Amino acid sequence: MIKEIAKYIGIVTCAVLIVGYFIRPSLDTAVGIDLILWTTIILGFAAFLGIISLTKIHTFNLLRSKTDKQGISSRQQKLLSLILLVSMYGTILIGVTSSDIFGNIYQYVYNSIYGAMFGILGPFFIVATYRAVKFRSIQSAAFIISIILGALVNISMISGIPIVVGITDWFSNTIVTGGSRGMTIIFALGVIVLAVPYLLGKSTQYHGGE
Amino acid sequence: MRMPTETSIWEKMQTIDRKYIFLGLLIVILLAYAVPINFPVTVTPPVKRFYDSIDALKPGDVVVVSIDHVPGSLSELAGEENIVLAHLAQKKAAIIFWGLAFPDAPQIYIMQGMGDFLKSQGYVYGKDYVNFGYITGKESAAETLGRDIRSVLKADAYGTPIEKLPLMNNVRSAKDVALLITFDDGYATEMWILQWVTPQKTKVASGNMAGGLPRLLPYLSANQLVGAMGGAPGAAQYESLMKVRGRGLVFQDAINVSQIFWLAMLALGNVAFFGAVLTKRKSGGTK
Repeated sequence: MIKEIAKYIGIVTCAVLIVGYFIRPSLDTAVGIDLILWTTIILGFAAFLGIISLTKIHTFNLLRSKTDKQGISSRQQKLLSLILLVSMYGTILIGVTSSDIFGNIYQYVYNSIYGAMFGILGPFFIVATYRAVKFRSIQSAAFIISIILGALVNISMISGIPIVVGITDWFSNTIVTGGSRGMTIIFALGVIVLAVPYLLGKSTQYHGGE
Repeated sequence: MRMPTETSIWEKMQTIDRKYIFLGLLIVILLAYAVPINFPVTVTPPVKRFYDSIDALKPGDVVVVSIDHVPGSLSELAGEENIVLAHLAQKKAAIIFWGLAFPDAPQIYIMQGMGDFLKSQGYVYGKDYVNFGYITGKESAAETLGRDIRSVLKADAYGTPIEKLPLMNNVRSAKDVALLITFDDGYATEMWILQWVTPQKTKVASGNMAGGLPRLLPYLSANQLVGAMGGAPGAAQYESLMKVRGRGLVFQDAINVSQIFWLAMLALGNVAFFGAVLTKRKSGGTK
């Protein structure tokens, strides 16, 4: 029964939004505001569930004394779980009580770690290129030539050479644009194929049906 | 039987310990920072269009700056944000800040010193710029903001009611916005095209990651975007148009040498691969 209600709410909401996209009544503004409120409530609730789940898993880790399948000893697990719980609840507490300290934690801890994790992709990317990207076949040759042209655009001292400009411009404006446009069309068609059965109530996969 | 010396060299080259490649990359990047080379920068059409769209603004035109990225992307996007904000201040544009994609927008606004920079340029909060922080709801919020900003936003990020912000007196919907600029490391650009360009005909420009730029080319050729730039190279091009040396041009040197290093590794890896194949063939191997 709940699933049926959810299905009909979903169908009506989507139909109103789609109609409102092409026609300009005020009805879908009201629906839009309700959707934002619901999204906020659901996201907040999801975050709350996430905190409970993390707490449950890592409290369990703190209490047990077995080495796990990856070979991480219970002592290491306990330490990691303790760090996670202290970091999570500490940051929440500081976020609620002091915006200055939270700002510093965000800037000098979270931001730095996030940036480092993002930056670490670069060296691994180069190693992967050195070891795995080889002219083994026509497909791989096309792939390598594409990434070389992509790289040339980013090397400022080379990207200004007229012949390089010609080749990279043609590559960007013809091959890349064509490919991206094709993928966008395929994606849009895929969305329609998925959405129509859902909007007509024929598919219930999104809310846990078969 | 002992293998020929050439074969072992090629094979050794192919199985080189990755720490040497990491070290090589580290050295070239550090050198680029230590000894600025100032390679010439060529301005590409998407960046020139981005620049022209801001340069055409009149004093008081309303521009929305949407901070739609996570802090991890600041290495690529901070240079773009700095130079675009400097250009907007130069044109005396009125600026509305918000972020829809990630809840990090308010902290990035603080970390990047956006408000402080505008104050130093003579901007007055509430009159010349406002900050709404993070707005939940993503696509639904973007759609509703486009129709009626006040139906979503009742107060700014500091709790000031929207009625008390003089800048917002004449800003009711996307129709009152001269330009929306999204700094995006995901798919926010597509969101703004769907919800603001197509239905509201608002001009949108995208400051994106270097890797995200090719994805935006179809929208540029269809004029659904008025301009776009990708990562630090985009910021470097913009800075060269503005004739200032900022974060983009500093990063550009490092990008130049690291990309050349990467292409050299690509070439070397293939030389080693084909060297090994040819040696095996010569010595009567299977391939």
